[in-house]
Amino acid sequence: MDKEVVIKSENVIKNFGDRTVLDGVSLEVYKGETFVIMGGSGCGKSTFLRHLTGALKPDSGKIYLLGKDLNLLNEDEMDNLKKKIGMSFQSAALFDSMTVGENVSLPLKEHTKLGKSVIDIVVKMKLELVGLRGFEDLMPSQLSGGMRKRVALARAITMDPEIVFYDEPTAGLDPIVAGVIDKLILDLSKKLSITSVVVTHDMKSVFSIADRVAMLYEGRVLEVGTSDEIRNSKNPMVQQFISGSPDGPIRFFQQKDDYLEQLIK
Amino acid sequence: MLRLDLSAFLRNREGRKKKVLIKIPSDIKFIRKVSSKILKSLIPYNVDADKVFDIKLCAEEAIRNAIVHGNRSDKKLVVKVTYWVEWDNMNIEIEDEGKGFDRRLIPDPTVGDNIMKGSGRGVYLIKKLMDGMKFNKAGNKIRLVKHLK
Amino acid sequence: MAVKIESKSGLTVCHVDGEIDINSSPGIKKTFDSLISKKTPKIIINLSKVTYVDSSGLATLVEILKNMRTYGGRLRLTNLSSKIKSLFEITKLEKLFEILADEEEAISTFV
Repeated sequence: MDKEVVIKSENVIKNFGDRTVLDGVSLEVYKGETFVIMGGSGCGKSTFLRHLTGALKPDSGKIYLLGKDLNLLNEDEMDNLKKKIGMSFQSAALFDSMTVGENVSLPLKEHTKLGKSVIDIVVKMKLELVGLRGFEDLMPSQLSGGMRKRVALARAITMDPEIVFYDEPTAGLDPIVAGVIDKLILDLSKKLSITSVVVTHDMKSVFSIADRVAMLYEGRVLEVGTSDEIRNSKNPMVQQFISGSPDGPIRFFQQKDDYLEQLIK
Repeated sequence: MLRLDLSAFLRNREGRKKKVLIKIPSDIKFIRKVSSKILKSLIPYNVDADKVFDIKLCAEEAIRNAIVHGNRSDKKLVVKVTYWVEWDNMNIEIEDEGKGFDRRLIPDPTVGDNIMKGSGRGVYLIKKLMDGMKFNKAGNKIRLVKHLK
Repeated sequence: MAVKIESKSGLTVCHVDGEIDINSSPGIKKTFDSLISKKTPKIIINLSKVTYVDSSGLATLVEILKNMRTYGGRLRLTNLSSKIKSLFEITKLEKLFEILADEEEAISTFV
């Protein structure tokens, strides 16, 4: 079966000062799949995600998004590409001074001029998809953490993107709510035929949503495979991470110098 | 006065899809209210924004034609708008009380001197933006079809 | 719907805010009729705040253009959203009007 590659990175290297955060990451993501990038804190997964969305540029290596080399695009082309992707990042929080509806409408207001009546309907459609019908006029402060994440999800799909990037979508949520978010990610992916790239360290999420998984460690790809392949991995580091054990080849006790470096950064 | 008449509940082959019928007097101030209701009915279908725009524009054009041309803006005459979703297609039917017209007589507004004419683009836009457009024989009823996916 | 008119570099620049449709067309036509009666030679209409144009809106713009041509006036449209631009293209009006991407360009090249 021919699988269309929608995202490709070739040997991406990124340094922040003396620290090498990405040490040659080469990965491919296929159309329509839910691709999970997992790894411990500091493994580079969030940094890598920011490269895929064009927020960061690699020091060397290439990134192709929907067939386009991100390094070669001008501002207009990048803008056009941005309309095809959606992002649900922890850092991209909702604006507290705007209603739920206004938050969700932002990408439409920024990229199109479709008029209030059309935008209002599209906002309602997206909120319906995430199970928040009727919440348009509430303020984010009136919502629970899980609901706020769902609003962020609605905003990420407002422009009907082909790819959605999620950065720690279940962070800070209790297991039940996290499960709701996971299910939503899956549902949206199937219903809207989108490709999802999810960065997470929540193991339960990983195995409930992933078609394929890549594990990063110290800026390198340790292993890539289907959910099952990773679960049965013979790599002891992968197994240690999956089981959440403090004992194993992954160093828990860092060298003092490494730690101080990270603090300075 | 806007009368929402749900008497036309119909179940067709694929289940409980209801047809909604709205009757309005021939006054352009009702156009927005009707198009607004039609757009609201799209909410469960997650339609992309451009399609929502197209549906709004074409519904409003067709209703306006019914009011202004079909019923000659006579407020005593009624325009009937029926809409429903069937097999992922939005269907909108607009009927006026006029004697109808021969739609073959609508000139192509993009050809020759027609382009400089003020009016005449409504039906053309509908034809181009919708996936289907059909008139009844008499010419006083138009059906618009737009695929929602 | 509102039309803001200002003079820039000897040109008349109009900003239309809102919708150009069956409801607002008569008002817009009146505004431009007064500019036309003064035989305003060069008019730029900036549509960056226009979210909706229906066929009567298109008709109004065509009428404005026609009327300006009677005295040799010239009209330029700028900052059309991609949706509205596509309406112009569908009705082949993009060949009839002088359409430019932005107001600055329209002003600086309006000779």
